[in-house]
Amino acid sequence: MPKDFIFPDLGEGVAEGELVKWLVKEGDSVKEDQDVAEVETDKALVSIPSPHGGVVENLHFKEGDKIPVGAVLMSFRDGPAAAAPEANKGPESKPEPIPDKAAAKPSPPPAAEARPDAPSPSAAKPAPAVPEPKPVEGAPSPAPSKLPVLATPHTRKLARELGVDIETVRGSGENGRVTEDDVRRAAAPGAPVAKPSPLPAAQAAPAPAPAVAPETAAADFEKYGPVQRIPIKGIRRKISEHMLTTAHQTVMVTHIDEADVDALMLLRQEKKKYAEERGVKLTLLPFLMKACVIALKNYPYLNASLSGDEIVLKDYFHFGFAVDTDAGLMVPVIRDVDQKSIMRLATELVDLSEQARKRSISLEALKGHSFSITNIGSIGGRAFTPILHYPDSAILGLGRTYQKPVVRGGEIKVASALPLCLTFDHRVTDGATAARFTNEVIKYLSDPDLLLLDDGD
Amino acid sequence: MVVGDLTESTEVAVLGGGPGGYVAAIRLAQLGKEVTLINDDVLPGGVCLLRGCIPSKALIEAGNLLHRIPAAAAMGVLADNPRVDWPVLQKWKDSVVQRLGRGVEQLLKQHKVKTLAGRGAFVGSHSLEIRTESGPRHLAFEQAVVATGSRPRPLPDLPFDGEKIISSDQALTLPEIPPSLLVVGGGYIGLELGEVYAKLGSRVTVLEALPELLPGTDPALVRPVKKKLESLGVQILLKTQAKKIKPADREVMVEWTSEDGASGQVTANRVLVAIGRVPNSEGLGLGALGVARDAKGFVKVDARQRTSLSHIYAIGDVAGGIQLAHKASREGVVAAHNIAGEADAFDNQVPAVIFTDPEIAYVGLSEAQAKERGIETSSGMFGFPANGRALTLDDTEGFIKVVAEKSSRRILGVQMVGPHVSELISEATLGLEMGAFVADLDLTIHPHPTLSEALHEAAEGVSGMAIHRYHTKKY
Repeated sequence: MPKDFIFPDLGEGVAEGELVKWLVKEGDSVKEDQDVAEVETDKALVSIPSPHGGVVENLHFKEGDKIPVGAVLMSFRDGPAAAAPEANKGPESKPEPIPDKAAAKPSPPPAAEARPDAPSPSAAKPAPAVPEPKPVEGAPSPAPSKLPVLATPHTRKLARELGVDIETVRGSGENGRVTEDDVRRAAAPGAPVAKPSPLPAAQAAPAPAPAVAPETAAADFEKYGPVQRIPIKGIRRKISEHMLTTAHQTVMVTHIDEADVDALMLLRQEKKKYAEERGVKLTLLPFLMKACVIALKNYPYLNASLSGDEIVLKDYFHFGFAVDTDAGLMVPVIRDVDQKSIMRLATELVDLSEQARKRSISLEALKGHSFSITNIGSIGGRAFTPILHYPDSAILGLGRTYQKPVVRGGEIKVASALPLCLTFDHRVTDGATAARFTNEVIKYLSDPDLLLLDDGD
Repeated sequence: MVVGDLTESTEVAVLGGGPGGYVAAIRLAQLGKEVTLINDDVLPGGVCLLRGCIPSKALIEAGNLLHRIPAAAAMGVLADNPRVDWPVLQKWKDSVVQRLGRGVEQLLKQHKVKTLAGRGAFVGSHSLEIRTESGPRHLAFEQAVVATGSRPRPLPDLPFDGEKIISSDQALTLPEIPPSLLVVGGGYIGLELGEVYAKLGSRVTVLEALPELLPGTDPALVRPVKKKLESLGVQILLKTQAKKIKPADREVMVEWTSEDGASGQVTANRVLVAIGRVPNSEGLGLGALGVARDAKGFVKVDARQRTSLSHIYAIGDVAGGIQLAHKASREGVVAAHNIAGEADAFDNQVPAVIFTDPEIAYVGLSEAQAKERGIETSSGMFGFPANGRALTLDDTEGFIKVVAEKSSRRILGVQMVGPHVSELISEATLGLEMGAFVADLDLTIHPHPTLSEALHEAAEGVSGMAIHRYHTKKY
């Protein structure tokens, strides 16, 4: 009997993963515990080891597919691994990983299925043999392990009309159900084809000339010039889904102010060496986190989530912080910011950023945030409108510190200003709270010694 | 070309007027196509209407009624000496067939489908020759739909004689109720007809080569049917083959041997051979045209019903797959839509219905089939003995079973055996087509008191929470 490898449960709450890359191919000999695939869940990339050795008979998913936990990922042929014809090809029998490029290469748009021939004499040309005749009853069918696509007949019909192979469409509905919207989205690469009128020409009334049609996502951009089409997958897809959820589920307002950070810059400069001696790279960020956590204790509605009919105020302070990686934005979480020293926060910031960039970060380290910070200032920018890290009720964005003239004691001086952009969920709290919170953060940033005195309680 | 050999033309030619062909023709006409239907039968409707589904159900209904009358005494309904007037029954059955056939004829006319009585064969990629009573006619077409159906398969070296060795066609029009009938083949055709005659008073023997009746059907569904057949006095010989069949003067003598080494002989007035059907794909000029067929002669098609020639479509029995009228009809619609430029493909769940007593109906996967595919299942079952409506019908044999994927509770299949389950299976079929989960059935109100409640309770049973059943197994 061939053995099946069931896609394992990867941890709490993970119901599916996206197959990023196969590390083996059909016919390969695989040893127990050898990594066979790279799978991305939420935002972590995980290598999946095989629970047993054997020769790979079938890979049941394609790269880019979503794999539900419990699905048969691959099956192994009978017989010992050594019996495999392709085993031990060289001194190193490591499976050849598929080159990155192949995985990153944009796949062609969903096969534009041949539309039925229009009735014309040219239709008489003998077509090549029919590719897949339906199995004749009686003949034992080759037992496909897949269930029919989870979609209603209406949706399946739409897919056919739009030339979309519904089997390849990722279902966004419950249990992976393919919805009408999913099909329309999948059809985007080619403009939706107007349904041929079922009416004979004579009966078809001329349609009133439409006003200029709005450009849709499915627009035929090629009409206007050459384009490249990059399939949305992996982290990009996660980000896109997450952002859409946030935009749909929250009411965002951004409050913008600036902190005078001369004293803080001085402090950091003074202590930089101290930190370096202890192997810590000291930036402004851990100070800012400390300022925020003290202020949050006074403004708990900014360390909260709206859940159903309730606002959930969190007694823990786990901060997500945005990291720009090659694959896209990732947001690792530092836990219990209120209980950690500035030095400790600085260390964790560096460690977690590194893990995120190498994509070795654990799924758990991306979860459980209650508030987030995003720092675009390292690249540039004065003010921007951060998007909430759903379901958090607030996120603080930092611009680039810049020198500006200020009036102090009747004199014009040069001061360092740090732009602060606080986006909050207006369903949870109001602008006044956001302003007061920001004022408090500014107070601590302008006079960092206060961080020693206050703890927000 | 001979003088007078006029070539007519049409946009779409449909060969065969059965439930595939006439449905395709009507839909094509509805979509604005000019259609010619070539049919060599007296009426449209094909085997189904003329020599299959419809006449057999008419006889089955009469048999059931006759069988139930004595049982109605328990309800206090007394009728003395119920019996069948065979010629009247035959006439009534024919009237049903006539009425339906005329109805289809009328519909074709209303849709302006041209009909040609005769047998058609391809003589070119876009032309047909039709042999009619008044001589050959030629028809040029742009697209064609082959819907020529199938016919009963005879035993090797023993053709049907229409008298003693009969096919299902003749079994429906016998001049009398045969005192004894031997049925070769325990599939649904053999059992439906065998059971009717058993109810009408024939002594019936069924010979089946495989270890189970209704091969391919979940054995749990077959059990109540087998029990009923036995109670009707039907002798069932499994794993048994007819070795020698010798027609004599009044009777036929059949020698049989079984896999277990047993052997014996049966004599019967008539032998009904119901061992399957062969496609009507010869003599149509398909080979010369290059239309691919499989080893058994079925025309190969893709999901759009296109043959290896993209302007020629094939549907129904001749195109292979399960031989059921409703499957042919859906395929006819698929072909019509594609010819008219509408995207359609056969991606359907085909419900199977068997009009034995009790009836069997199923759709989707059985538990065993799901296991074969490596899918873990949860299932719920509900018996008709606990269904109020079944009790009032005095017809409580059977059950309904809902099979779901264990992890997701998506419904994989539904199996039914019992009263009127042929009517109940459509809800399950819709459920499968919609991708329903157990909760979808579970949370839908089913009217009381009806047989459909058994489906509801079977769905509830997947979680061990059917109301009218005590589940010993806790979930």
